[in-house]
Amino acid sequence: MRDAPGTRDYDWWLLAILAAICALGVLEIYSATHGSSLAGMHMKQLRWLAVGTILMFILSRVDYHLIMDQSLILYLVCIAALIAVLLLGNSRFGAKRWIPVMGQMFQVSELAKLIIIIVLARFFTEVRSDKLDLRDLIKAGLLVGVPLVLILKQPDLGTALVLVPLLFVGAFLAGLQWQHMAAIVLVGAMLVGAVFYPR
Amino acid sequence: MSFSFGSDNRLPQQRLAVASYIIVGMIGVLLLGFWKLQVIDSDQYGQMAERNRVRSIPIIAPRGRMLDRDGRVLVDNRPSFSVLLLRDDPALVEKSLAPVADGLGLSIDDLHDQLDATKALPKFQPIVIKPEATPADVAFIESHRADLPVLEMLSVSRRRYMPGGFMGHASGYVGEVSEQQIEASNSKLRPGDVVGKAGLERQYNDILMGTDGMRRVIVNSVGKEVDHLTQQDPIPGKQIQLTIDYDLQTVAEQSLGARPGAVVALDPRTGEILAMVSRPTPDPNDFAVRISKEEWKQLNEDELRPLFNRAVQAQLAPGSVFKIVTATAMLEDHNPPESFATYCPGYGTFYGRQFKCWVASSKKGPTSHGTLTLHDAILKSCDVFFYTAGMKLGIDRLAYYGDKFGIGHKTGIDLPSEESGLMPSEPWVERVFHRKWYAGETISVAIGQGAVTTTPVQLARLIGGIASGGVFKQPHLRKDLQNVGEERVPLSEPTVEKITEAMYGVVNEPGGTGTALKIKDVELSGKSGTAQVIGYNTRAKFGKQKRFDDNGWFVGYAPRRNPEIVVAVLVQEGGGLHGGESAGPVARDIVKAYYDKKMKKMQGEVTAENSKPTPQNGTPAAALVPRAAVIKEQESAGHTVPVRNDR
Repeated sequence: MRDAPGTRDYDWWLLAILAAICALGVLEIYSATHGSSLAGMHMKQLRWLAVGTILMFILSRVDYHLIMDQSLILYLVCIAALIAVLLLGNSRFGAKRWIPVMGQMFQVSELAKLIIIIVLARFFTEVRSDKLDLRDLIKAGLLVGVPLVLILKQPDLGTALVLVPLLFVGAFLAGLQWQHMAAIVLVGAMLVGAVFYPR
Repeated sequence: MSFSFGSDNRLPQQRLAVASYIIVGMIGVLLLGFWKLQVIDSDQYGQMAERNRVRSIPIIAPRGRMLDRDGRVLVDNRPSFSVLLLRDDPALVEKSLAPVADGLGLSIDDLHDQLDATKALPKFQPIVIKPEATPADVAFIESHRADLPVLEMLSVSRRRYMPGGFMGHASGYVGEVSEQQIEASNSKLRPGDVVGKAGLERQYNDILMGTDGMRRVIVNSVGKEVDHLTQQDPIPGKQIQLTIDYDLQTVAEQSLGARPGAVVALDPRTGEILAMVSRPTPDPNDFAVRISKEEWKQLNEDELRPLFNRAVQAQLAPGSVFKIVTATAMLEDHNPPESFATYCPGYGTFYGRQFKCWVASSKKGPTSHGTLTLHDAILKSCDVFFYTAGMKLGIDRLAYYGDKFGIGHKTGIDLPSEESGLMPSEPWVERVFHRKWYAGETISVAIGQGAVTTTPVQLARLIGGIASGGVFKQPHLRKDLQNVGEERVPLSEPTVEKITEAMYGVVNEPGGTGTALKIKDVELSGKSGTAQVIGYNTRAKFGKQKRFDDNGWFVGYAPRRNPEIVVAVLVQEGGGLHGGESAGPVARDIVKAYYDKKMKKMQGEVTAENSKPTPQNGTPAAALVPRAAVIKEQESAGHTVPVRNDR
């Protein structure tokens, strides 16, 4: 483990923006639920924000390279958990998205988002050249594709679609070639058209 | 797996910048949307939020009324209010419970229970906390609109029946629709609908029931009605006219009194039911609001079965009334011949077993009938004569005629849950008990005992049909019923003449079992019956503890040929009297009232149009005839039907 980061090492601007977004969220929840049967939900949001903040500071003291080293294991755990959800998950509102962990209902696809970011980051650091060749692009696509299909089967289109920009931004920063990008945008547009405007 | 991460600076700065700007741009779009929602359009959304509560309040369609044959109202509706509790805001509901309970005189625990029971229902769906609001409740809700916005009133229309269970079994009652009924209705019925549960209410529910309307109103954030959107008017149910004659029904109710039993009066020329009573009876008004679980349980567990319409459901041995079937069979088959005579010493021995004649145990008069022919045997209801005739005829012929005359078949009366009675036969014992018919059983069946059972409405149809020369009309209660069924059993003229002559003699010749029933200037005829055992089926239904060991029957009619009225009376509490003594007077009262009314009509005193029956004058039976009243919408609530306890 590296030396503990000092206060100067934190990106205070980033934290300030984060804090502002969180505050806005709490305000919105308060305003939307005021006087209704869900009144008081903003307090719940605050409590979890506090938990999240503490976790954030703890995790910031861990060298992220250590986490990156575990990316293969994390990825396998993630896939296993997504399969487990499909096999023995609890159905709510007609979808199987939750498995009980220590008495709490746990939504695995939320964890999957985080792990995919770590795995993609790790994968793209291995690309040495400035240009991402087609083989690596397809490999990255497969890495994201497997959990994406599993999440789609739950079904949870919302979370599944979040994975696509992760891949896109990651690939872009890793040197996605313009012709590949154009091809992806074209195919994507055609897919969207086929799905939402058939005929 | 090992590799180095190299320098973090390897990241292409240019691309990073592009990605950053794109992301900043997207956040900018989001902020713009946020700005539009919160600042630019804020007034518009604020107003929409203020007026966004649209509440749908049902308008209950009134059920159709039931009128008697002269157009007098027998079953009506009355306006009423139900108190609704709006549950959109749980905190407000919780806060309001104590004052609500206090103001409406409800227990707060009950309210909590009701809220718990309806937790699964959507919040916008109000619950009924008091089905019948008193004027004080209405005043309380109106004056607390501001501080108790959780209360709302629903205007409903409740069924109003004649008090005291008058005609209660024929009319039936209404109640909240059951889940099975909703499923069976092809989604025409919805939860909370009020539908007919028994009797005519159930039979003609589709006609009587209207279609509820809906009022859509806008309420503000404190639940106050601020605007009226649309109104879908309710379609009221259609009224039906019954064949019941209110005057005769009143006489029938009073004459039977509180005794368990049943009365069916009908016009055999048309099959129209003029009066129908079954005792004991619940008051259908008790069902009109909401019957409590305890009351319902009590009604169901009562040994006397008040929910059971004896007029169409009681399957009992007809006793000596059945001798008319045996006699008709004998005359039609000429076996034994008409001139057949037998000697009755008070008993007879058949197939090695002794069968008693009722006369042997009679407390007054002779204990034997001596020698008699068919006419006297009917008059005196001699068992030995009919044992002998039955033995000669055999069960096949008895079953043939019993079946022809409708025993074992539903009459088709327009009431739900009619029973069919039973005409035993050789095929029947083989099918049901897998055994041979015992010859001795024929002897019992010949006098209406053994396994033979009939309902009161069946006996009225049967006697009326035979006296009409073999024309059996389908009994019915709805005046404009289409395609009234008719069955014709060809009976020879001498047979009908002989039988009706004998039934006239029962009432009008010395020695008849009904001579006490004679009415001046009216050809009252009939046949009494006293059944000592109840049928196998009914015994199982009534349970073993309670034995109805003397069911008194009397089926009377007038005039003696082609009668206009037949009255079948069952009294299940003979008190040692035979049917002619216990049930006979009820039949006489009704036939007498029928002729009194007919006379008045002929003299022009009563017309169907003004149909205001006047109090009866001076006749000996006046005490039995009710002070008839025209039931108007407002009047009937206070009426009570006096119950005649003496007999």
